[in-house]
Amino acid sequence: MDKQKIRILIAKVGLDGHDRGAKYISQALRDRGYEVIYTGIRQTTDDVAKAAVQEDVKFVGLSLLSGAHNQLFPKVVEKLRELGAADIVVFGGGVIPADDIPFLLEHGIRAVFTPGTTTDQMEEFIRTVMEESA
Amino acid sequence: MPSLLDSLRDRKVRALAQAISLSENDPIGAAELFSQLGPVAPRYKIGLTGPPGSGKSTLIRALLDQAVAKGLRTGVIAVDPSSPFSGGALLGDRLRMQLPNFDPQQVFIRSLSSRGHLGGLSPGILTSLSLLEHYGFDLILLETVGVGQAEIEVMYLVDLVLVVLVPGMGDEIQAMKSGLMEIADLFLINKCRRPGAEALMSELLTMLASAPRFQEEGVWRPEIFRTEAIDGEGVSALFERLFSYREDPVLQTYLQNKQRRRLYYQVFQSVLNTFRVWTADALKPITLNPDQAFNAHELAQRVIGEVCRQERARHDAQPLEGNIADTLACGSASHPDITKRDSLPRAET
Repeated sequence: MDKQKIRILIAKVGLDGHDRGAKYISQALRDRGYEVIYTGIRQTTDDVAKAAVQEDVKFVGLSLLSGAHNQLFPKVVEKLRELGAADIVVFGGGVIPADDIPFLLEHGIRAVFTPGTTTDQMEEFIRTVMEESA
Repeated sequence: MPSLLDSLRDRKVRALAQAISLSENDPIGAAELFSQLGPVAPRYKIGLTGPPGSGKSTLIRALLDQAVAKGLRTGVIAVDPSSPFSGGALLGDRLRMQLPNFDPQQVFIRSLSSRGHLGGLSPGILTSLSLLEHYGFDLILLETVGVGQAEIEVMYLVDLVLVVLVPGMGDEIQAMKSGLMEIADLFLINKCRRPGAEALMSELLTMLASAPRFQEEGVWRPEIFRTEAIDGEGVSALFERLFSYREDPVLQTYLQNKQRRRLYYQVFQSVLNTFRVWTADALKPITLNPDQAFNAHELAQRVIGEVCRQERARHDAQPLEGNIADTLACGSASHPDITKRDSLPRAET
């Protein structure tokens, strides 16, 4: 599939203003040919899900460094389901302890990227998901 | 599963979003599919254009505040540039304009990449706008990419063009140039508390006072507004002016005339777009050898011949009824007039 046609929403949920990572990922994906919509900081889970639907994205990438990922990430998945958009793939990243990752994966987060992840690894994930859904 | 067309008729937000994607990915196919939705009463469309960082997105947020307070439903399309190197794009307009806890039925925002299109908009923009009209928004706002001087396509798509300027972008020679400065129906001096706002105001006034086309009696002459979009200063006055044309015969006539010119341009663009796609398809199987001397014009004539032959064959299979003049005449008669529309709410004064 034409990469330009793969749209990705990068979002910051909750009270966390550390957006260096989210901005870096947004730019890295842009430079690899994707269309990236960045929401800015301090978004509610509801608003992120509504934005994902209006923007008709294939992926939502959530970035969080405050420790509230177990509360907030699954809520985005839930809200997307309520809006009839369960097919939108949610992934997460940030400072996330290894012990929390199984919980997030069980709650509909398709992948969790922690510090040290390369952009290549992230693109590999996007490619795999696109191949599955093709 | 209901079809996309059925979901659109049921005004599902997701269907609208998906239909816009289809318009972007396959402009011709989408235009054909969505023509099945039938004709639609044109909605009031405002275009915002101006240099990068002049505050177009922030201004849209301030206008959305006004629209929501008055119970108007608003659709926004915001275009940002695509990368000439990767083809990707970082779409950052939503970041500035999304209201917290918004009602997605009342406020619909869609970010689009220009995908290499040069006029300041995007390839599927015509169909996307008509989808918003079908959805029934009271107001449609279209934000172009941050423009330089020559991206003027927006004037052919909307009722009124707002050119958003900021103080300190250059001397009075900039205001005298052709292009962007000539397509404004309204000028906005945003960030108006900055030094230089007065100078900009007098440059614009001088330009308008000296242009022959604004001197005749009964001609619409662009007005100049001052705003500080970030805190909403001056925005309610602007919003009221946008909705006051019913009381203004000059503006009303202007809008009607503009609409006629717009239709002509849209048909013209649509023909060009269609030809662009057909030509690309026709050229695909051809490998051009740079060592071989060839004449580009001669090859082009052959491609045009081939494209016409293929399309003729397709049309012979499904012949059009009537001749082209009849078709067009009937098309324009069924195209309603924006200024005679009842659906447009009046702004409270």
